[in-house]
Amino acid sequence: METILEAKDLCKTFSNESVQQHVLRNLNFKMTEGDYTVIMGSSGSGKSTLLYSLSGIDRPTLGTILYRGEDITGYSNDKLAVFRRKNCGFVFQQNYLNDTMSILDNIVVCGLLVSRNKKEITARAKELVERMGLSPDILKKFPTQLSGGEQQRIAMIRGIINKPAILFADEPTGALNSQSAQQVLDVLTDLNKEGQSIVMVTHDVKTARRGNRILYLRDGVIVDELYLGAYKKNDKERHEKLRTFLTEMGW
Amino acid sequence: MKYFMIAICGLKKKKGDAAAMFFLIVFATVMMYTGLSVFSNLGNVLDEVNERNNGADVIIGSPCASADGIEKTILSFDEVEKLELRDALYVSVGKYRKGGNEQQEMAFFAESMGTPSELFTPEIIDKGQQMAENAIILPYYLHVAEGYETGDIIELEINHITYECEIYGFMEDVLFATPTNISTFHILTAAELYEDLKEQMTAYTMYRIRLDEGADMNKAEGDIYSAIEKEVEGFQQYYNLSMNYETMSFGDTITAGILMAILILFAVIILLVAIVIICFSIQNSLERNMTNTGIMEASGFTVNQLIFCVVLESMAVVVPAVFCALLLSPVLSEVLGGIVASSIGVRWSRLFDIDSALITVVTILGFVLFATYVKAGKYKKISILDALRGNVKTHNFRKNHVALDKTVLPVSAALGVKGIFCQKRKSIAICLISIALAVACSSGFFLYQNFVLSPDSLIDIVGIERASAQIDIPENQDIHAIGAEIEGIHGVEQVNYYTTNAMKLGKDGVEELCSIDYWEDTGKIKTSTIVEGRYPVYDNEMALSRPVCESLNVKVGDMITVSSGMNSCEYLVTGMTQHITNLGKKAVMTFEGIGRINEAVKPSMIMVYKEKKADYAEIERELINRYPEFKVTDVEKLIQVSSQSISTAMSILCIVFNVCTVLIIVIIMLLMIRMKLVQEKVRIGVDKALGFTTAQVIARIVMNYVPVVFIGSVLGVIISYFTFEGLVSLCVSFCGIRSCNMDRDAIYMIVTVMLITVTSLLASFFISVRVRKIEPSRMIRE
Repeated sequence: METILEAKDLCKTFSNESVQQHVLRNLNFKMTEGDYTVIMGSSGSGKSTLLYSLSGIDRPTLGTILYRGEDITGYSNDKLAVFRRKNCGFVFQQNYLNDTMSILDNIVVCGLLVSRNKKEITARAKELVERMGLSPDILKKFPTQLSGGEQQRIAMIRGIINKPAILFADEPTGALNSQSAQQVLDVLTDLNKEGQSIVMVTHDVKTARRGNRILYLRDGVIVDELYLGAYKKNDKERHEKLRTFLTEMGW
Repeated sequence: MKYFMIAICGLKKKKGDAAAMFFLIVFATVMMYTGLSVFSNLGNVLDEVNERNNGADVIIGSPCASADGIEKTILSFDEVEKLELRDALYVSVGKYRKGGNEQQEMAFFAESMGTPSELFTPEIIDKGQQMAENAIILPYYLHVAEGYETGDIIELEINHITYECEIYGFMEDVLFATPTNISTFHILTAAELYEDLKEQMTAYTMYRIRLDEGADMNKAEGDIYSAIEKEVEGFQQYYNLSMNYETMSFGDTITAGILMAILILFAVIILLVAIVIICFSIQNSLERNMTNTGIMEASGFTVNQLIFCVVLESMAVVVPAVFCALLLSPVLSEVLGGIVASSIGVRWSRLFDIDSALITVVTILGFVLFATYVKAGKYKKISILDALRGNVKTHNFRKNHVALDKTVLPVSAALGVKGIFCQKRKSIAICLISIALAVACSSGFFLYQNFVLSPDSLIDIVGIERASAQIDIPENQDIHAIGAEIEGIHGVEQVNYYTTNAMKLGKDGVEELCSIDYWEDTGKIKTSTIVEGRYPVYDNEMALSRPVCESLNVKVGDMITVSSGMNSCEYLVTGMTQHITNLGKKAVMTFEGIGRINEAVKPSMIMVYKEKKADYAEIERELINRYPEFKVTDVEKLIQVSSQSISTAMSILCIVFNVCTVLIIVIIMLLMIRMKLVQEKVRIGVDKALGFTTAQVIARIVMNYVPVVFIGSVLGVIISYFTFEGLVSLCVSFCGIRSCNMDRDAIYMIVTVMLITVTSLLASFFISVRVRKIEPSRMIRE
């Protein structure tokens, strides 16, 4: 499988007056197409920083990031924005849907950044809404009229409306109850089965076991990784394997 | 003390808002105070000058030789306390200039410094060291408006004889203050120069009259003048001068009064803009600090205490701003003094006016206090729990404006326009402010167009006849024969015969002394001041100005009585006129008409009208060559000099309005966009993360405001187009003017819209560039 995303000697340092905080230290990362990579680690280990650096939202202090072999580290802010809209999809912990726009507008706004074909984008939005198990009537509503789970699924639709090469998810179930979280994770699993590459940050074991590859971060470095293979429901062995791995990591 | 601390903490969080409020309030205070103090003190300043000068209440000037008869008639009036006779000289056309400057024309009244006076003792301003034989004291107007200085040499040309006079100083004379008020300069000369001037100027006697305290000067002037006409033979056939202090001082204040009224209006507009911004600021503060508010309420603060803190916060900015502005005013008085002095012809000597300051302080603080209190009342509607949860916003779920799947606009523009509807109240407020600014700005341009660039409308309102030249013909000449010769000159379109004097008009026991213009042929009049009916054509007809109609309670179609000496006759009122000259009080008759009661009134002036493309200089040369003994006045130049101070003032107003408009637009954009960047920084960060470039985010922010400003400015210029004439009429309504035709070219409306829109576009663009500093990763983490 093609290497879709690679990071070499990635470093990220935050400076606050005279204090420097080295969050990522010479980190190396590779991801092939179709991967469902989960990044785990204790609080402050650099998970979100790694995610944002890989997706181009944040600039690394040192190192390179290659997307399909092309170095995106030196891109200007606007070029990175264009890169992100075409190749990346995002699902954040806070869904960040715009309260003043309808659900359809919230989805379509990202589609319009890439294509001017409104009909096509709107049709795809409606199709994705159905796939997510949501009623088409939801498109006319506003975000505050939806439940947390529904909002997060809409955010996911927004993230995949342009068929991005990689979907970046930062604690996508962090603000949800268990039922809503389950719905969201099922969607992510289904997308991955269809070939969607996913990079997800989580601190929840149940969420993590959906991935086929687990990376454990400690002090800005990937200390170990675990291959779990394709996800199967009620796979107890998978769950045990993950638990053992995390325990060894000091989770 | 705790409230004060809370207020100061609140201010620290919104330094930009506070700075903008401070600036606007200073501006509004300065303009309001300046307008009020000048407006309310104009009369006082003139009264003080007249008192210093020991000036007369009524002046009559006449070349009539029967001085004894006139003196006796005047003294027969009980209300006359004192009378002084003084020799004077008069010329209807005198030319003057300094150095190589262009020659100006004006009528002159000259008196000798050698003759002592009790009823006119002016202070000599900038008095020279030594009085030369050719010393001259000029009106203060020439110093402040035309730059003449003590020691300069002024060339006076009278009847082609040039006199080089050394300026010995300047004087203030309210009755001859500015050419706008009376087209005559009153000068004092050294005795030797006076003797020289006697050869070229007409000898007059000035009758200066002091009335008993409380006497009606206007009535007294009319009664005395009529009595002289009746009792002194031959008086009517002369070009006599008659004026009273009340009327002249009022006329003196017109221009400055109108300007200050406009200034006060503009101050009110700026105050309203400041209040709108204060309301925005409070709203924004409320939303940003909602959680803190919840904590304070939960801790025990009452809603009224919180409201008090908000009010204190506003006052902490507005009160210092008002007092800073008032402290600045003595400094500004220096600058203002020159401008006001040039429009009223006397020194403006008011450093600080307490009454105006109090009114300004009470008005501004009152408005701000009220608006702040009302806006802060929103705290009463929010519960503690809502506040702690930060739950302020309610969203209207009914309408999704500018649906992205249906709009034809590009995505950034569509999001921008969407934002306009989502923040309806702000958009409406910005629209209203833009309307107000567009009205002020376009009005400034219209004032410039009508009073500076092409003052035809001004001439129509003032009522000056648009002749090219005016020739004074002595009595012993055959005026019609001369007129016929002049008509034959190449380039002359027509001539008309004219004179003016004062007669008594009466109706049902009500009488009024009125200045009357006599024309040979009213059909040739170029400046039509008729607003109802027509000019008189037959010998039993006359037209009256509106104020005269109102004071005599007559209308078109009524009969009134005109008295001249012992004779009187009835005339049909065929038309009503309106104009500023003579404070709006005048009548028009034909020579045939006045011949019915006084055949001695004959034309004394020929008005010469040139063809459109003819060269006036050539015509003037021809006239001077043919008639070297006659006085030829360049009327166009006279109009220019008379309207100089108005033109200058209107130019300044136009500049002030435009500069203020630009500044206010920039301030509003700064406030709005800064508020938006603070409120929506997370949203902007997320949008950048999702793939919006900086340019697209800036375009969205710009589209949030610029279309609203554009629409507001278009509405504003349309409103201004329809209300400008009414505004001007209102300003001159005291002269009986109810309607006036003003030019309002579309180009000025377009320029206004462009000025406001482009300013808002540039300001919003440059302020939105701050968006570059918003890092998406930081916003998402927050």
